Amino acid sequence: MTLKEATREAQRVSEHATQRMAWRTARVARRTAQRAAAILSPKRLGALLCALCMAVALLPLAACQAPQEQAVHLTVKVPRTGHDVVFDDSITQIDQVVSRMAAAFERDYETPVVIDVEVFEQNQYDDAVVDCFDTNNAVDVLYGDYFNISTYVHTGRVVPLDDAITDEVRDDILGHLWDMSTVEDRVYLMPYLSRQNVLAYNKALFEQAGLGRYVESDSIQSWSLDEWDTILDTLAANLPEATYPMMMYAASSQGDTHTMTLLRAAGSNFFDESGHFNLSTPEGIAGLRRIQDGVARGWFPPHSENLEIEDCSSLFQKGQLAIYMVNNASIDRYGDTIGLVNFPGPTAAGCATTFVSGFEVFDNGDAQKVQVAKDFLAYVYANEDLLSYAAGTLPASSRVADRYGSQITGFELFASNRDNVVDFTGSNPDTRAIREVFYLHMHDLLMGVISPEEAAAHIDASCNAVIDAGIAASQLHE
Amino acid sequence: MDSIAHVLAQPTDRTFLNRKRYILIFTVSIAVVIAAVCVYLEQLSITVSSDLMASVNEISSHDVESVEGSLDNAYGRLDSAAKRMAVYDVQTVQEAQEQMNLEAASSSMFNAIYLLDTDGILYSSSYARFNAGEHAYDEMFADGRDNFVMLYDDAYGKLETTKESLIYGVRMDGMTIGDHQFVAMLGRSDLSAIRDQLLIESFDGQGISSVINPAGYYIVSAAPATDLSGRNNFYDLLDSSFIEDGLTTADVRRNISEGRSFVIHCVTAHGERQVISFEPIEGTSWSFIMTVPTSVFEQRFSPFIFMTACMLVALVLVLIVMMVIIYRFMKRSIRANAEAAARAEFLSNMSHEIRTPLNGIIGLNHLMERHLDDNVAIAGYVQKMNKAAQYLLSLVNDILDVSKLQAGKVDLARERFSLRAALDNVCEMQREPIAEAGIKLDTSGVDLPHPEVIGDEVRVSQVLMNILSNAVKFTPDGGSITITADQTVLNNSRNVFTRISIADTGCGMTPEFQRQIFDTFTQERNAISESQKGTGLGMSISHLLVQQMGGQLSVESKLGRGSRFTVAVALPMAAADGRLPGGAAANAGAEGIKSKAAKAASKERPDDAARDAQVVNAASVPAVPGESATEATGTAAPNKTATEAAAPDDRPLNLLIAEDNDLNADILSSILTEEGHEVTIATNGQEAVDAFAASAEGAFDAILMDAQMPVMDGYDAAKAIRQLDRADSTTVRIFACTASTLVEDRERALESGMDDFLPKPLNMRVMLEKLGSVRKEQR
Repeated sequence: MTLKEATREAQRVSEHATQRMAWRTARVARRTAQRAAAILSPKRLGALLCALCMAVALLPLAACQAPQEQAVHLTVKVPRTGHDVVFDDSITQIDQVVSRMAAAFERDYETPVVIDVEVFEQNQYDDAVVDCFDTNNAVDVLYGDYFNISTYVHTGRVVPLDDAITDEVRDDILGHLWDMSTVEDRVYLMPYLSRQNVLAYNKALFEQAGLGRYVESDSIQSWSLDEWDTILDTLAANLPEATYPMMMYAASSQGDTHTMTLLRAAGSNFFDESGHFNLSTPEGIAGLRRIQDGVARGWFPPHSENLEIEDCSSLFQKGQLAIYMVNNASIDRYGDTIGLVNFPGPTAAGCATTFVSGFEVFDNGDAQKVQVAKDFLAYVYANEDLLSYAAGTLPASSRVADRYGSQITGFELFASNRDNVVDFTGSNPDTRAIREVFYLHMHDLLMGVISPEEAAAHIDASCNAVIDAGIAASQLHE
Repeated sequence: MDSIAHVLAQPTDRTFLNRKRYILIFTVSIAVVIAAVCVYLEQLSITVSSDLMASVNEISSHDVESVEGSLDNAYGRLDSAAKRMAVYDVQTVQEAQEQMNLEAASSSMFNAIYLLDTDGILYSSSYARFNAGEHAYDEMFADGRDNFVMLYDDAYGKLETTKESLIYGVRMDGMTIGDHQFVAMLGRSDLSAIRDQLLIESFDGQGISSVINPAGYYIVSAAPATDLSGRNNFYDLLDSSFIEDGLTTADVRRNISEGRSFVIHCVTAHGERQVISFEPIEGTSWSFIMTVPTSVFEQRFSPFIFMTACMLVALVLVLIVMMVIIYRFMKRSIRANAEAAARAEFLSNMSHEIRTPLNGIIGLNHLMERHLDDNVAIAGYVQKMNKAAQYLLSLVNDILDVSKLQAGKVDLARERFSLRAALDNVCEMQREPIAEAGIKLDTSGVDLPHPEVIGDEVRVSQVLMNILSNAVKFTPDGGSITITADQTVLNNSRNVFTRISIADTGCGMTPEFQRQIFDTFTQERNAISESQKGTGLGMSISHLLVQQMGGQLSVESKLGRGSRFTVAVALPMAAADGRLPGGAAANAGAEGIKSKAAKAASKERPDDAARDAQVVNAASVPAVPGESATEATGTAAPNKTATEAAAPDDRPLNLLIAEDNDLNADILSSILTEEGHEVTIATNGQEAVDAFAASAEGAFDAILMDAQMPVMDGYDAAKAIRQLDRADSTTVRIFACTASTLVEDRERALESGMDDFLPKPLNMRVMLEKLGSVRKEQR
């Protein structure tokens, strides 16, 4: 630690102590007032007066630490998401990281600012965002997964962030992430980290099924379709009772992006050039058929249409499922018991998907708030320490990746597999709406009530309708 | 008369005492009302709170029943699924799991179903198998129960999900599949799926129901978590709150674990006061919690408070108004009673006062009849009779003065006069009684650098005379009277502030009497004053007169030591040229008060004229040393003074007297005849008109016309005479001679054509002077 850093740290500790003292003083006053209120009754009016006097006497002590200027209030919302950091074991949730960012910004920003970091559940995005528009709890800065929060870009409330992005930051963040953050040449999302999704296989089950030759370590493998067929058929034939070859589920929309990726197995690009669903092609239908045939060939657990992804996760963790999806952040829990392999197709190298998480800023009609929110993001992205908290998965920052890559499990593997990453969002302005219809068709396909052709047609029709409606309703911030 | 003051003084004391009593009663009443209000509000609050708590309990019971019903429903569904499993044709556990998969998929309640075998292995509808060492859900049946429900907690074994869920369990009768014997079926429900049906809001959404497990985690809450990592704990919430009545979170936790129903009051970290009701849910270890902000109670209570406050305000206002009315009524009643008593006492005393001199007059008249031949005795009787008559006259005059002053009908003159001369004359008038009593009169302190002022000399003299005569009256023999006077010219004004004090060494007054001395009909009863005579109106008249002059009459006195009366009044200084400040010519000079007699007699107001005349006459008494008051007044009998007034020209006048009262007519006739005039008597107005009409022109020099007469009153008669077509009808002097002495009576007389006004009782000297002036005019 340099002298400058030490001085800064000492200053931070001092300020923290001062803040804590002020907070404690205020808390004493508040609790005193609470107790006074608790005993408020005609019989205890005297006590109330005493308590009020005490509170009045103590409040100035707290107030002396209060900012003189009217503070800008920002609401930052974060979904409850597990998160690890290689250099800080205390971090278990992403909201902890965001809170640290907020505290640092509050401390360093020239204008008094108060940031509330609010955590919401993963399935309550709309409750936390859309339902709070035009209320006192409207979100100013939203952190989340792109496939959830990109939808809000088209509400017209998410502001472009180009003016908050310096050249240094633009160069630092990985280029393909900027592409995913850009709509009509303007950046609406600030990527912070990503997770790359690939498939994993249970080495022991492979060995047990006689597929030892496919087992590798320290690599992300790619199998041809024939190899896939062989492996899955072999697994279906050789696995012991109550053990199944591969994940499959369609009871809900959870995990549907992985199912979509599997549909590329026969060479389908999934989307056409305009970004619309395009499964009604030979490759697309072939992909659907592989899945439907796989049901009959015992590739999946019985009645997998009734399973959730978490059921498959449980089976995989219990050694009852041979092939399941993982990402670079989750492979630690399995150690060397699993091998990694790309999803099949559309090329021989197979494919992977990336979940990008980052920030977006909402305009709630207060220009000052918008500017402070942008300054908040500019501050975070100019601060390597804060960017470094992405180092538990795949950091968006090249500098952080360079600094901590060696400490991140499988970082090099997934970085080198970046070229096989495919986009699972297309030009869809409302990914979350797509998810509500897509799995239903997969459910029918797995049940066998519709043919692959019908499934392709239904998926294309319903999902593209959602896309078109989304495009029609799309309103970008001016 | 003395008793009047006594009577009047008593109600004042009583009023004072009554006021204190009323204040005490009012205060006690208010205190009782306030106490009643407090008790009422307290009882009302208790009643409303009890009612709301009853509602809370009722809602809690209903919700608990709802939750219990929902649990029973879940048990029933799970039991049905278990029974169906028994009848399905499944040969292996895997087939059973597939069947459970379909059961779960078709169930709207369960996301997953599990079979528990005798080895403790849990078989899931998602095909996962949890060995005995991986879970502890079988322990839920350890106490022999047939079913259970619990909040999913991975401490009991992590299942497929991380979502907030409920785990239900029902005991089975030992279903056997292959080598496995199953003892229970478990069902897992996503809590969010059933939360809405369990969450019940009350009190317009302000009352929140929730259900917690013994660990404090919410099964149902208004802000539920969806994931195990996001769950909130009730006890953490309670820890950040303040629980009243000395309870702690540990107490609450213990009560819940013991399955008790109880209520706590607490204040949240946000300062919100809440009432929290706990109710155990039968068949579970859960507790149903109904949280109601106390603001709900206050909102329900506030309309009652408002209505009560309005009612009480109205009631208090009515009571106050009623009490004020009663108080004023009683006060008025007391005053009226006191006034009635005073009036009765006054009338009694007036009767006494009037009857006494009348009795003397009658008695003297009787004596005179018996001693007609004894001129010496007759002279003495006549003198005494005159005193009695004078007293009667002063009594009547005083009463009239007070009446007019109180009615504001006294107009003060604005004439130039000498204060010094007025004071000297007053002293001079009292010189004789002062000398008789051996009283020392000290006037060395009189310093009047600006004696010439504008004002009502007669009224000023009347005031000073009243004070001085009282001083003389109440000062014992050998005492002293000190008169001091000083003047200050007021800044930026032509007014001079004059203060004249008359101090005596008399009997003095009690403080109580000092407060009443200026009230009418008051005279202190004491040993000295007992013997004094008077109407008790003098000081009241003086006080009212000084007030009307814009001044102040004050008194300082100590009982047994004497009194000091001070007249303080600001009067305009007279200009050197003798003009009034307003520019009107001063019609009075510095010739002295004696010359005012004629002026007083010619004043516009007949009653004033009479008073002035009397005062001046009285003032003239000492001016003629050796003459008696009777001689000076000249009212009771023909006397030298009156004769001398007519002396400059003794040509007899031919007078027509219209008088319906024979006695008065005789007296008047006798006096005028004795003065040498010729008199013709008419008994009513018509006769007077006829007599005048029948006379030769210029036959009558003047007509003395009574006002109220039968047949034709004096006013009409005067009009008729003036309208006669003869030369002297407009020139003959007509004097109104009437006992109606009000201003309007005089105005009416003048309007009817009469020339002057002679109020009854007639001041003979004034009358003769006026007749003398007629003679002068004719000459």
